[in-house]
Amino acid sequence: MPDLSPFVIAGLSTGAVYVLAGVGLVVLYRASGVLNLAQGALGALSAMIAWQIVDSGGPQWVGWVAAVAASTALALFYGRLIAPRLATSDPIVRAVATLGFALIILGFCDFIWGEWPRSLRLPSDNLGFELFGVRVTATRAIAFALGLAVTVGMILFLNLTRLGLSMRALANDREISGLVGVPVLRVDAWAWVISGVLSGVSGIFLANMVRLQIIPLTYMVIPAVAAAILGRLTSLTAVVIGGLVIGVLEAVASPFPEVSAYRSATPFVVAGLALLWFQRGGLMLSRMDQFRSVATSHQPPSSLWQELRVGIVLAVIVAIAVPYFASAYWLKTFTGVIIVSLCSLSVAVLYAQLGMVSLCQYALLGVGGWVTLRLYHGFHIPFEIDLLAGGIAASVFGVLFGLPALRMRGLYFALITLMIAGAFQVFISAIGFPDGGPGFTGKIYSGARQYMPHPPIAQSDAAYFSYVVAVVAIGFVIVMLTQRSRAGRAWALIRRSEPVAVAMGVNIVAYKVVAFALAGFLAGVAGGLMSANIGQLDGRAFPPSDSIMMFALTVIGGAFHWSGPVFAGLLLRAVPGLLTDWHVDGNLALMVFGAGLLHALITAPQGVSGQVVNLSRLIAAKLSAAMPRMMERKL
Amino acid sequence: MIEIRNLTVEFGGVRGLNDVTADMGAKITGLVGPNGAGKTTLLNVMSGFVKRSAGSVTIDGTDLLRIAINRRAAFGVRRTFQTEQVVENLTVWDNVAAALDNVPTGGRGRRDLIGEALDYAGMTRHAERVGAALNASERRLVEIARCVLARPKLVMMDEPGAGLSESEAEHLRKVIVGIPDFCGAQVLLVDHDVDLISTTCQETLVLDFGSKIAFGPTAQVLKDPKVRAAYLGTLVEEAA
Repeated sequence: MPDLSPFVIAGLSTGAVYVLAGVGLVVLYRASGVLNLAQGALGALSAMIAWQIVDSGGPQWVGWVAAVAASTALALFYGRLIAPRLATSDPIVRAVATLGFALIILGFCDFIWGEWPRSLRLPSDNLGFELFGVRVTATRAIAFALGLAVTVGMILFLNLTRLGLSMRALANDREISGLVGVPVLRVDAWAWVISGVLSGVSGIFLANMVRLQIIPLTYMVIPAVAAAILGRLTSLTAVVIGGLVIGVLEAVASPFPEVSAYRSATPFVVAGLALLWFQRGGLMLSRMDQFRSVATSHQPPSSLWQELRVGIVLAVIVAIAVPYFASAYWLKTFTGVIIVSLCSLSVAVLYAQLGMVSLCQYALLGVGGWVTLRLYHGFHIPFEIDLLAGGIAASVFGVLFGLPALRMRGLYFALITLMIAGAFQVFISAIGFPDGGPGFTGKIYSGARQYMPHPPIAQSDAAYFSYVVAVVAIGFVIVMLTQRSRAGRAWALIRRSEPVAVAMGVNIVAYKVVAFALAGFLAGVAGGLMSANIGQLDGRAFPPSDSIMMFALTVIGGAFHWSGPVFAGLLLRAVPGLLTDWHVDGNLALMVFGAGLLHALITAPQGVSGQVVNLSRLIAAKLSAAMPRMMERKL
Repeated sequence: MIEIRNLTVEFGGVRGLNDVTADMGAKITGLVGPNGAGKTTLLNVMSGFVKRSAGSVTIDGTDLLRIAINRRAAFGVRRTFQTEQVVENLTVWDNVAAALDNVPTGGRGRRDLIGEALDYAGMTRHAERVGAALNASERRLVEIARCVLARPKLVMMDEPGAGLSESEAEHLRKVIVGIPDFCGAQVLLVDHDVDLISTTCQETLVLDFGSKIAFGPTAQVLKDPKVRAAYLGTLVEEAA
């Protein structure tokens, strides 16, 4: 047994910074109803600004002030100008909109600074004292003291001041608070200021104590969210306990080689256990009529057979024409586009049918790919069976880990899937994808990695493209048929209102499980197809941001029509190729996609596909109206 | 027969329902009272959205409150809500089909059952229209079609006539009056409209601040001075 005290002390101070960030999340969520998932990105930006000013020779205190001022100004900007446009939307929509903001900040930071590991030194790093035989730097002591002081200060502020009282009133009921004269927008603004200051301060501490790198700092919102979940997004005391527990558990796992590689999955484990505990009281229904649920499609459903015919004809044309015209590079790229559109379909099913936001579909794609590769290399089973097994495995995996959140309100489901994505990255970068090696992980550590070939019936790249189109088309058909089945009708009822669905006898959890299982299956199959397209998968290529992008682009593409996921696939796989051809920095695309997500959520809930479908219907209507007139003129 | 015995509901320190007892045997029973009297709370207890603190509700001898909330529709309890709840992206036919998915059909064909319910509500010619295209009164009729499917025991309606024009409300009233004979269910009707209650309900339960202040034949109940003071009195004040 190694001496744990240095790890406990390090963990307490990191945990205290999670507390700072978590308190920022909770205060803002209570006052304004927005769970600010961009908080980590704001922290990353402020840490980079602090670093830049010191690196350019400026005094340190100027760096800190400028950093916190920048994160505060940006938070206030979002809170005053963008968040109010979504004030009447579902809490899930308001939370995922902040992901769009996070993508913009992330793209901006990576564009300016890049992902180089740097370090941010603070003067207090050199001071310190002995505690139980362990040296504690002043930075860590300050972080710990600040975490506790801010929490106590916030509790006093909320309970003793007039502004705090207004914030608690907003948390209780925005509309009534407004009616009795609480200045809603001003109180909101103050909550955003508090959130901005706390994200800036926690960003600087984390950059110093963990590491100064943009993407990892952006994900530092995950332990803060986990701490907030422990307090049911409302209790500040529980946030303190949650943050400290997560920090300590993460740190004390480091000296144990068996688990140290997985220690970053701690927030997921802690939040998952908390949700298991919360939902023991039974199903939590969303309150009826409080919010109009996420946008629904009001377009008349076209007849199933008509839609199937059009889809199949299009699929056949694409399957034959693309290999004929495309170069070798673009053929591989388009194969990727079609595969990714299947994963996007899995996001769309959940979002369009049930208003559920899953932020782990790309991770589930990874699970499917892992199982497909493992079965192929380990047992040389025919590819189609590997593919099916991959789909089923991803489906089971998703349901198993998502189940505790499926009984809770939608926001918790979105958060737990974000953590599944985070935990998957931790595990997959530790074990990697199978490439013909021995043992459970099937990994080759020395020697050449083996590739998985295309399936025997589609060996050339052109044939494999057609194969992929066929498999993905089957996925789309399965979704269309399910949508028009008993399950689809139950989904529609749940989405209309959960109490109404229950009153009509729908088992809500069961039908949510059906949807999430179907979505997991589609994503898993996409993973199998992807591993056969490239031959292997890279364990470092599954960050949570890819799952977030998958969601963002599905909303931008349009979740309510089958063409939406195809647009999403093009945006995700073809656009980066084009940008490389044109020598445009990919981080600009990240910023554009972030803005696109905000735009879609605020003004175009049907996405690109909805606009295209509306436009084509409009043209068809104009044409049919113009036809008789033209005939008349001829006569 | 619906037997409500000593039903009490507490929200924090407030009593939403206070020791309410009533044996409802009429085909259509009215439920009236001023705002906040506990009418919707009573419906929500029967649906299972609100937990009772004490008391019981039985329907034809079966303890309703022991049935899981998503099985009460199959048992025979159906309801509508204060705001209409038609699914906008399903057709009228599918709206009704969705309600039939989770209740036993009694061995009858699905198409027949849905067809009869739509016929009863007068919505057959709208079967292929989507919910989003319907007006307020058509939406109420779709909800009635969803409630009368496959032999329900109890249909609860929460202010079905709110927001309708006089002629639409009159048509809706006729459809509601016919429900017991069409499908054999008892109807529990919540409404503020005293004319509607007095012309449709054989018996009426009056609640005020969660307590029963009168229960019995409608005409008799509406003459009760306590009822006039609690309920009709406030109406007069509002009108003044």
